Amino acid sequence: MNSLAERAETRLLAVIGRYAAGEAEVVHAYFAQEHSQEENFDVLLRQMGRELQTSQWLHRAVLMNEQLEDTVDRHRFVDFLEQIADEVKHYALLADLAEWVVGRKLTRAEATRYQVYAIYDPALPEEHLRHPELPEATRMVLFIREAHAQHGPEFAHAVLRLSEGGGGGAFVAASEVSGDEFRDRLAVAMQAIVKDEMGHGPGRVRAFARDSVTDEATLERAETLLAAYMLQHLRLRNEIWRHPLSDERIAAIGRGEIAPMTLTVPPNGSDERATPPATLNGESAARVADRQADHDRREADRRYMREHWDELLARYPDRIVAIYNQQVVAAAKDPKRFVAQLERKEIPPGKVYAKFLSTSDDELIVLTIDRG
Amino acid sequence: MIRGYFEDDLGRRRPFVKIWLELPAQSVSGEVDFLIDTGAESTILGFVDMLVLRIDPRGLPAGPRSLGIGGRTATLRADATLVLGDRTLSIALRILAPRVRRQQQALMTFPSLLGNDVLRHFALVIEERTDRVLLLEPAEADALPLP
Repeated sequence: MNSLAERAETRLLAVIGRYAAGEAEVVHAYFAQEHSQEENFDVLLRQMGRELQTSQWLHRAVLMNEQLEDTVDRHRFVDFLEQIADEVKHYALLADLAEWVVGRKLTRAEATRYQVYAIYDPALPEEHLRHPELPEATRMVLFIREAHAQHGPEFAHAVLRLSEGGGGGAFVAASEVSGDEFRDRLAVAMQAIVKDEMGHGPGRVRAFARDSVTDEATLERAETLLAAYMLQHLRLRNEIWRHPLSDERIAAIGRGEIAPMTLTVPPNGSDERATPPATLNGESAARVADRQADHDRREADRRYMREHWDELLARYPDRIVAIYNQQVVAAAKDPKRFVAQLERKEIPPGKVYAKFLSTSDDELIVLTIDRG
Repeated sequence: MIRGYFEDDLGRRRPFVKIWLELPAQSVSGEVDFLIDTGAESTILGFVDMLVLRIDPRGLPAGPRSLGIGGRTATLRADATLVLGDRTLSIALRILAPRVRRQQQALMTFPSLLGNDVLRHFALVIEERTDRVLLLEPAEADALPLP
């Protein structure tokens, strides 16, 4: 009988293979119909917006440079710059083709019309995580955010990285089209992209299966999360190519009604290309996402306390009150009893929003001086 | 730029900022709301926040006593990391350690304070009129058309 790691690798690669085939079908379906040059131009702009997202990491690169050899590892820095360069290169290849399609230079507004931020980054303003013209891309970012909250940032991030590029099926399919000058030129551009993209996600599966899948339940959880993520990615890809597949067909692919694509996996079975650091301190994006989840919950709990102040004060006068997930989870005058209540409810340290609800209106003057 | 907020408390509006706090020696971390206090020499963790973070005072060395209006209080000292936006600061955090019950009760209402050991790294903008509580990086402050 195969080991758990071997079974995990097989099952996770099967999920990626299924959805990679689905993404290839999106491209095949698009080219099965005749399209105007305006429609081709629009598809290119949509894919360009996806590739351009790494340019938003440049401000981090500048700041990383300032901390090089201090808190930033030089090899991590190189990986990060190479990843930005790769994606911007893909953007440029597609933008060149878009200009050929319309026979003029692109405006900045056109080039950035569909720019999205493809991963959830809590450091970015909320408006960067949404795009009014791309509901599926927006749903994808929200999905990632929820996956982090539900499964924990480390696990969710590791699983989602297995699916980079949606398995690469759309790029492979687009690199094989032919029949007119637009298709031939697109195929040449996509061949260059395929060379860079293929194998990144599948290349991580073996290491993930070996290091992170510790039991059957974890495998089940990883497989379910990966499938849900790739289903949303398929919808996103369908949106990029102007919805050639129906919702019913996408649901059928989700049920496995498709022959899986044969995946390209790097010979050593691993791909250690860096992911973008979400902060400059060498922290993982997962850790930052974890902090953001704590922040969001505490902020909601703070609002809850503010909005229910009068009733809480009436019910718990001169007590320390802790709010967690917008519910009172501890209220006590005695500090030890307060902590005991939190421990009894198994609430981890540092997670609640707490305040002493004072019935006095003493003025607070808080000059403090250290006295040695 | 770090953005804080005004907290309404019985009609008084006080400037706070949320900061991620880590105490590696105690494997403790969490977000804390700090009152911005230019009158505080050091950043001080309040008693309620100490309870919420479940810091074990037994393992911490004594810090200097803290003197304010109302008297002196013993403090503990812990090496801490503060994460403010993209910036990380390492400080010797003071933790209020009231020993007797009466003093504990008195300090329940006392918030955590962001003192000058941290504030000196930033330019501070506090303006109730526009609801702005901002900690500006030096480069951001330099770009302002100020005399």
